[in-house]
Amino acid sequence: MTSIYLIQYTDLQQAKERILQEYSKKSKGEIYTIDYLPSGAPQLISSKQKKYVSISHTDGWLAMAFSDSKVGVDLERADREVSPSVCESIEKWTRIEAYAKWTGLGLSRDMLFEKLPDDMIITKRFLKYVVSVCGSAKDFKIMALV
Amino acid sequence: MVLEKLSKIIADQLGMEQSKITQGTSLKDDLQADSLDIVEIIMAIEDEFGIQVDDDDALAFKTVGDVVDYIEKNM
Repeated sequence: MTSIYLIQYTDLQQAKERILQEYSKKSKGEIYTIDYLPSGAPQLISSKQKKYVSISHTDGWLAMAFSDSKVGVDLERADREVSPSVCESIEKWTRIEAYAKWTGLGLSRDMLFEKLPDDMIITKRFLKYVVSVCGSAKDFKIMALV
Repeated sequence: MVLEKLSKIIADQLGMEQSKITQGTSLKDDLQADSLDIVEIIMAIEDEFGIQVDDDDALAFKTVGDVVDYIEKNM
């Protein structure tokens, strides 16, 4: 099960720290911090269990997905327009982005036209947003923080 | 002129004033474009100028000026 924490923010760094604190609380005293690779991909640093994280933010909302294995997440406003030449819907876009982040390599043009591993990507609605997660977990849970 | 057309493309995509976009404008810091904005902008550039933008080249763009140079070189 992948957990996605969502929070509204004005200060992005503070919001990330807030989510990390919440997540650490649920993890039996394990403290997590985030490091970034040169590619921009976030890595979860902890002393014990290896966990994975992916981050997405849009429209004043921050989403952080935590999982036991590689994960990618993307959050977008459901009413955001996307050109047909890019892809067919904003839902599809979130699936492409989630997949791109899961690979750790970022988005490439080919991914717009390649077949996605649909069985690894789950898409859900949350308020006026759409969120997709890519990874081996069969489901994800959304936790909105206030 | 390239900057004129390019700044219109960027302004339209990001919903901002065209006059605010100059050669020195930073794509990441000043424009706060996300991945979808970048893809949309690149596709619009390809349509407008009749060129193909390589993914690797696109990653190297830091300022609007970098993009202008690229377009002019490949037109």
